[in-house]
Amino acid sequence: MNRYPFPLLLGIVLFTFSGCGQQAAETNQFAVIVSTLNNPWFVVLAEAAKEELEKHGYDVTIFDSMNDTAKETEHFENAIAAGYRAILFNPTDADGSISNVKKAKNARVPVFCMDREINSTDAAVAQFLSDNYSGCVALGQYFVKKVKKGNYIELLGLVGDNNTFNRSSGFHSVVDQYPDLKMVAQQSADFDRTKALEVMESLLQAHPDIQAVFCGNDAMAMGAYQALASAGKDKDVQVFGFDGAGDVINAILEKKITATVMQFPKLMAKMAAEGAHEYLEGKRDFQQKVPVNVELVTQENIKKYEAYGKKE
Amino acid sequence: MFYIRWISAVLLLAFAGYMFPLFHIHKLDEIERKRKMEQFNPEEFSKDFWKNQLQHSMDQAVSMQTLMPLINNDPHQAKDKYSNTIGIGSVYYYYLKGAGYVKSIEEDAVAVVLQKESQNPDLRIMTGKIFGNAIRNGCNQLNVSDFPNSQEFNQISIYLNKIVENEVLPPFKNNASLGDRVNFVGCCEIIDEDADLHPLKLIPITLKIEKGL
Repeated sequence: MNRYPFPLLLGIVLFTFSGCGQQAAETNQFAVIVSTLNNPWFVVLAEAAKEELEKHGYDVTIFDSMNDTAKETEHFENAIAAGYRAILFNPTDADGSISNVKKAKNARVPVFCMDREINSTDAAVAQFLSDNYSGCVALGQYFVKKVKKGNYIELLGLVGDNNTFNRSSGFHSVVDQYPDLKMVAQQSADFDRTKALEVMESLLQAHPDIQAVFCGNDAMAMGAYQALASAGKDKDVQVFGFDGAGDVINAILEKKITATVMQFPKLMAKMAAEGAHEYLEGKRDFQQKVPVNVELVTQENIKKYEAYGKKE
Repeated sequence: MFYIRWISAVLLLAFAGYMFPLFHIHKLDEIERKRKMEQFNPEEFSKDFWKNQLQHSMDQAVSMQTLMPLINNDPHQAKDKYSNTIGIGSVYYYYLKGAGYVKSIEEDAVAVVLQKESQNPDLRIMTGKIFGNAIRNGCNQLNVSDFPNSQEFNQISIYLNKIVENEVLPPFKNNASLGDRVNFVGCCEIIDEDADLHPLKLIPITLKIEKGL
């Protein structure tokens, strides 16, 4: 009946598959998907990524995952369906976010991770990550020097994030070797200032005799400081953070916070943006994980630093 | 027409096979590496690495007698030529070997001079608590990209430092005396280009004492 069934079928198949992977090239859109915009540090990261991409002439949309992996999945699905060319990504969960990145990879949308890691080396094109562990080794040594002995509390970040544990692990690799320093409580406050305030208020009821608080980020350090100030203990308890956020840099200058660790969100964003641009230009040999050094910021060297970076 | 039909069929099958392969080919060593990572035990990994990889990498360490004159003349060139870095930033490392003489013994370090008559120490061999990533990063034998979870990579530092504290340092601290000649291999971490390199702070991998020289 039909004289050309095979060539016709072949033509249909080729035509159908010829569309695969092409959709992404039709737009000039980049997605920047960040874990949360409820923390100024991530706002800086997202805005810096947007700014760097715009320098290359791309249109950029920032998506807020609100620390919710399900919302993050929605953002990925939307970005893939809309044909975004690449995604600059700050994950909510080191394990839970892998499937989203793989989904994008399968749709030939390259993903570059910023600041937070996914536990996979074959999903993202590259990951630009702060060396949190080293930063907290340095912070731990400074903590030992400043606090010397007594009780302390640790506020952890999100439990699904590797940064939380790398910071805690670096800190404890030092401090646990000093028996005069005793951790009396360790609790998560999800990297959130308001939650840290509430957790700290509650912990102070149970543990009024503390000499220090180690917080896994600066937002929690500010929340903890606020709780201590309300309880009239801010002069007696030293607070240590991590990030280099603007309010903590000011608080170190005002001698309210003892120390933090400076991360470089603008540098990570710039590297991820340039990586994505180079990828679209044809580059393929990327190092999977690129650690970015961090620096201890104290009352002794605070003049070298400003919010989210070093003074020029 | 018969041939066109068959050629089309073969092409279609080839295309379908390419798009939807029935099997994948993977390198055996890649699978073995992944399997090891999935069952990662940082303590075992670190012991195995120390014994079977680190000990055999020492010929890659730069001689202190070569490095120090260059550091004295041009620290930037010394860094460019002999240091290694992990990632982006100001921190860099030297993987060092050499010999010197014990000049002084402190609570958490042994100061060493390269020339017996020198007054200022060239090196402090750190003998107290060992922290950080000097050996893991300084020896340039491990790649962070081989580790899906950076927590595992960081655990390696903890266990390598324990080996230094438990196996390398005790015999050295018990036997080192002023004037002894020490053969050393180890790693130095330099925080930034403004850091004072006199003396360098060495986290040792091996230390051998020679008496009466």
